[in-house]
Amino acid sequence: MPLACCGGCGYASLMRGFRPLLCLALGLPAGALAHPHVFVETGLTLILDEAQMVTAVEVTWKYDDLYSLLIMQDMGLDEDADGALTEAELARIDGWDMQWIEGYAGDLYLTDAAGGAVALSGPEPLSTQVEEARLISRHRRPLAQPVPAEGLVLRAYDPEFYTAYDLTLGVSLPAPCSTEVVPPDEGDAYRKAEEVMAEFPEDAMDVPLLGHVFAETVTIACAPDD
Amino acid sequence: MRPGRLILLLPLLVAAGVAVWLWSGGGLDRLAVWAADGQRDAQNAIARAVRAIRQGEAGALAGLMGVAFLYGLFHAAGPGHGKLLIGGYGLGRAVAAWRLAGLALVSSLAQSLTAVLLVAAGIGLLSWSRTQVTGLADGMLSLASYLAVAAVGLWLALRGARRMMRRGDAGQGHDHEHDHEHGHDHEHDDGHDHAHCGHAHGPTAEEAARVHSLRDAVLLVGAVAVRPCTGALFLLIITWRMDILAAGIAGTFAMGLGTASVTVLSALASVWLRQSSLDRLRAALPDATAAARLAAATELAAGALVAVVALALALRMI
Repeated sequence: MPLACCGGCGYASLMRGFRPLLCLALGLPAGALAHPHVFVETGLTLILDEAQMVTAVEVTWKYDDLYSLLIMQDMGLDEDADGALTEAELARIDGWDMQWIEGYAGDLYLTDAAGGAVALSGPEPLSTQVEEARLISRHRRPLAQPVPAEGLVLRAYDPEFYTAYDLTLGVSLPAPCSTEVVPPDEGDAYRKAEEVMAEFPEDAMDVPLLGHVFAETVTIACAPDD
Repeated sequence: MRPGRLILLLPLLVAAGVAVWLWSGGGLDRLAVWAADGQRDAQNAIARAVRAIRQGEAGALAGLMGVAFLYGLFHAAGPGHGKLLIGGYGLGRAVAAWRLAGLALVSSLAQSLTAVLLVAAGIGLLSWSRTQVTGLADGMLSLASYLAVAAVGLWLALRGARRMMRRGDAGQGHDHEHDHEHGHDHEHDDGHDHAHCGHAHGPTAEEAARVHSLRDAVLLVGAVAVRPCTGALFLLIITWRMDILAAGIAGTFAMGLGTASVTVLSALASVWLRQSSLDRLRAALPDATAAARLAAATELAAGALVAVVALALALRMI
């Protein structure tokens, strides 16, 4: 029950400024806040070393038609609007989505088997292409410290849900490891929202974001081959 | 309670059931997923239509109008401040259905106009970049809109509270309150207590009603229209860059009509809900004071709900 989170807020805190409103913001179903404007089909490729440690993740972003058109036209490319770029135009657009502003985490979140956040380095641009008028860019995120593939959890989402990512381009990694992709579950999403609220410090003024409740969850398993 | 009374409550119970399903049964999430999927398809179709126009394909403009309308419809079916405000107002105030529906239509079209003006001023006059324009809409204007919606909600609640207090000492008459809202409390569909203050104030109350409802109208339209739709901005910027801005403007208003079809529905639904249940319930109450108090309480509750939801949404942005 989404409203249950307000029970955990404590009556005393009702008196304390914005808290009840924060409760309400969280109590609202995530759907009430979902409003994506950019849709990105996402593909993930995990790079493993011999010890089945993940050293990097390669990310493919395939943007929707409208956003691709917006970027190309805004940059003054593809004058005839046929959806194909010349070599010179491709060179100009190369790396357009790799200028990350401070604080942008790349909309990719990893946690290890123990549930700890895994630090990723900044993006190494790999390629930019146009396919049927849609922009496709690829980049690589090395891990600051390699982590065991076993039990690793990956999610691709924008916390603010301005961009909606889905994993339709698939997740791949070498055998014997395999992936399990779990779609966002509504009941689970509510439980998570309550957890976020429970952990939310009493005196915090900013509101936790809930973009992740719409994210698919990828879990890695590397069964010993026997 | 006689069975007749129970039937009066039926629309309210149905509405409450729908609300519970939407809120806690995952209904809103399912609706949001459906709306987001529809929006994605519509926005891809918009891009294809725009390219077709640029390439001079016959019928491409009509195609753009159609998919832009669908985009607006899906967009409005998802989360939105317009439905919240219009629906809350229709529940709380005795407003005629046609009038609120008209306001919903006007506010959706005004929202399209805001998008056109923002792009024209931002990119045309000030030479802003694309991200400056969309950033303003998603940031400041979005926040301003939520705050404006919250303010209208608070105002509704305040009026309800004031009326409740005034009814509290009913019997002492009301002739001393010339600056209060006798007139506009009662729209034409609310005749039963119109008469007893109508004859006292005559044309003054009528005039006050007109002024107040005009002020309400401006507030409602303004609160919705101040935040232009990001999709409309995308379309306008694209068509500007492609030298087919007229098509983009036409598409933007088609989006507004699509949005309006949802907000008009929520206007009609809220007025129907109020008239079918609350008003009849009130008429069934034994004495006029209790009925008036119920009306005031409804306004107070609807206003408070709008204010709290809008404030909660605004807080998420700060």
